Amino acid sequence: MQLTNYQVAKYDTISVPFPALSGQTKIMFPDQPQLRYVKTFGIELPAMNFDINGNTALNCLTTYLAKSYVTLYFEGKEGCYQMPLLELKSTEAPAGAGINNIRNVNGLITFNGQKIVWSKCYITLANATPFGSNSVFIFGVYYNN
Amino acid sequence: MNYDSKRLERYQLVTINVPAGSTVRQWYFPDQPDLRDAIIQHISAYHADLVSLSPQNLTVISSADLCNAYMVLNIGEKEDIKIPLNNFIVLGEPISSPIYNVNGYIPLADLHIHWSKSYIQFAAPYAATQFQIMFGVFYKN
Repeated sequence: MQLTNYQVAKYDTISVPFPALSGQTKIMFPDQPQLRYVKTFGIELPAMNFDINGNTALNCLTTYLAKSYVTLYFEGKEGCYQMPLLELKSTEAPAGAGINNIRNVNGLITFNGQKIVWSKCYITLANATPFGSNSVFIFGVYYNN
Repeated sequence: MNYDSKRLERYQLVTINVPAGSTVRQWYFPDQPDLRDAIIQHISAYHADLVSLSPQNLTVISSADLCNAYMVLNIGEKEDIKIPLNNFIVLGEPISSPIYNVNGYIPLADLHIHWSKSYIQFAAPYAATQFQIMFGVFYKN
């Protein structure tokens, strides 16, 4: 949906750490105290190569985008179960090619004010896909109190 | 124009397994206990150019095969929707992955779908290798 009926009041990014050479296929979100009781109105996968702290991001790498899913916990259950990360990508990657340019042509996926329990959310990879250095997955969250 | 303005309430990934050596054209959805009483708002379809491996680490249907398939949805004991599967693709870009619906998500009329009576129908059987047909279902209770 396009942001026609929603005006942005607050926005934050979440960096989900993926340690160097990790073979894990389930990556938990770190707790997000600042987002603990807030209403979520949109989540996106920014087309960025680095997070705000300068960590390498996996958001634009085909290897990961083609096999990664996100599960979000809210209202007492996994209310969003195994959504492909690409579904959350609504901007093209910088100087991208192929899958890097793929985005959701519908635009940002908007939420209905759900209160997400971030520490129970996770990313699933179809198989072990180690990365050479410490890296992160970045998520952008549109929210309000 | 993006003609869907519904917000996400809940989402679930749904997969249909097509085993190697299959000789049938119709593939029924497995029962979806979590979606039995759900109100379906829209559906998103995926192919291997977008997501090559499913969460079960299986190959996802190719874009070429997906474009030969129709989705038949059973609603109120009638097959009220028979639609090309590629109408449900909303991920893409004009050059490398040009198969997508420029209108975005198709807004479904808050449907109660009988999943185990709904199916995907191909133009011809696919007997080569195993793959999965994969959908995202946006719904509310």
